[in-house]
Amino acid sequence: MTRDLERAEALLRARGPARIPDGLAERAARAALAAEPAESSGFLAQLLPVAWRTAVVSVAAAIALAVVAGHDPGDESAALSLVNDPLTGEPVHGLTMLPDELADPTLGLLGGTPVVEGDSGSAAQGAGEGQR
Amino acid sequence: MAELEDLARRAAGGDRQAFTDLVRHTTPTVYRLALRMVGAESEAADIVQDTYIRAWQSVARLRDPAAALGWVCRICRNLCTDHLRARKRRPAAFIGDGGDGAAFGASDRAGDALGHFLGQDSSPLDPATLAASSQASDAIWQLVQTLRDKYRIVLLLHVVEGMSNDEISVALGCPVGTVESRLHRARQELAGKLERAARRSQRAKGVKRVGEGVA
Repeated sequence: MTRDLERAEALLRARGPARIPDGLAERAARAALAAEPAESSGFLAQLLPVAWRTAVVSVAAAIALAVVAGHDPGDESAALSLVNDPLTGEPVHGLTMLPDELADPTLGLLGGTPVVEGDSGSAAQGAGEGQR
Repeated sequence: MAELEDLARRAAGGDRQAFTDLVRHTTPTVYRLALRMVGAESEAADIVQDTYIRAWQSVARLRDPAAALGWVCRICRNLCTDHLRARKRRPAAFIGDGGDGAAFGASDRAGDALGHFLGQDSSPLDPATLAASSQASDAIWQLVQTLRDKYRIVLLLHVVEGMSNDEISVALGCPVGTVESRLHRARQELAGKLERAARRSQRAKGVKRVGEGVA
């Protein structure tokens, strides 16, 4: 059997290596260079798009949250009230490290009453009313 | 290799001429890899082109210019894998789907030629004899296509393309030891297929003789 295998391999070898199509490398290089410029290797150049995208997504998410909750996205105090748990009125976990000025009880952040009491249910109520 | 590293480093800095030279140096390996993975020349050429488009778009992020050849081969392998996956979804007849009997089912003459070729004790392996055995060669080629991908590719790169185990290791992105074991397994499987093909051919000859005797 080894002999047959040797003979089979000899037949395969006799086919010879694949011929590279004429001009393939040149065509491939031209197509590549024409497709898009190479990206810069600079560290900042790589970092900036990421930072930019993160910032855009964060702002968009904040605005979207405010809009979904039925608040005017331009109203800062209303936007801040979003960080309270709508059911308990307690601040959402992780916000206790906010600066003192944000901990003003009138803003309802640290255990205080939410600025717009009952507002958290207004969106749901509105939706229910709409259905009715 | 040092030259390739230098070209890759310059290409990473945006040097278009260096990138062109890098393509010229690596195309033979990349093309052969693509051809042995996808099987068809035109498809392999398209994949080579796509490989370098991707390479140019990401060359700035190449961390190790010394591994430039392995890097373009990896891009090529990924594209080939995607291509094969897409092809599986298409109803296309492709050599290699027929199992061990494909070499015989496709053509009785190829089967006869292979049967004649196998089991001969001492015919010389000179180029003229080998060239005359084109039908047997086709039949063996079809048997090779029935090997599992990971064995077939290594066998073809080694036997047909004449690449060393080190070169195959770079092209396939796996350790040399893996290349060696796959090559060994490929040969074992091919030997088994040849043996079965020879037996099948013997049986077919026996049936023919019996048939002739009856007639």
